[in-house]
Amino acid sequence: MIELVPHSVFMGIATVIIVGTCASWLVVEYVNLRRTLRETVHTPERHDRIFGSIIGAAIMVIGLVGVVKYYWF
Amino acid sequence: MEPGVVNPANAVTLARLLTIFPLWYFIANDERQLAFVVIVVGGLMDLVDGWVAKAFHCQTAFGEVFDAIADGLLYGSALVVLAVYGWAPRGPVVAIMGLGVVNAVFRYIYQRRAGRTMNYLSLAMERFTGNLAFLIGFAITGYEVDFYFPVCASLMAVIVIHDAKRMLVDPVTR
Repeated sequence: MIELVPHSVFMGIATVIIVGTCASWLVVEYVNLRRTLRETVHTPERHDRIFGSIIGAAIMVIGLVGVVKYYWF
Repeated sequence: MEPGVVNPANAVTLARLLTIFPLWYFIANDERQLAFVVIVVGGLMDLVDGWVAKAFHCQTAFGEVFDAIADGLLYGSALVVLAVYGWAPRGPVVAIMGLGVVNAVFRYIYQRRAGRTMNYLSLAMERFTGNLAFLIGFAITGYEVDFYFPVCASLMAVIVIHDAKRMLVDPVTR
């Protein structure tokens, strides 16, 4: 088996990618959600954008919970 | 004038599609780190093809379909191979693949209902498809797979139920 880096470094890189992506994307989804909620005209497209942002945020929270589980539980 | 099929964005998508074979090979030969590099490169190319399409003004209907097909083939086949080699839990992978098929059937019905080639734009499912690259990365690294896979399969079920209502019950929006 080819090891490019030691296993601990490999897992560290994976953690940095997960935390970096999840945290930044969570902020993006939060901003999107706030912007969409400010729209006063209630259309099906607005509902879809809200649902999409909630699902996006949930995915990112799940990603961060997994990291917590990996290191502390 | 609409750009042709042969353009920089589709070239990037094709290159991404070709990462399927090294990915399968590395998974089959227990090369976790190399498989991880391939899936990260594939994920980055997924981002890059959208930017290239905008930068070179070559956004086409074919490109959108080709991109979706590349996503389906790359992520779908990677999930199956990972489950076959025991890197990902088989139950949730079967559930995710099954829900994908159900969703595709609903999208077909919606298209017939709407009477047009344009399909329902599910922003939630788009996000979940992006998340599949993450799930594959988790399985390759062995990162909390017993947590991520069942939770994400449940989340996908919620999205499919929501989208089913939008596509099959709600009035078609123009």
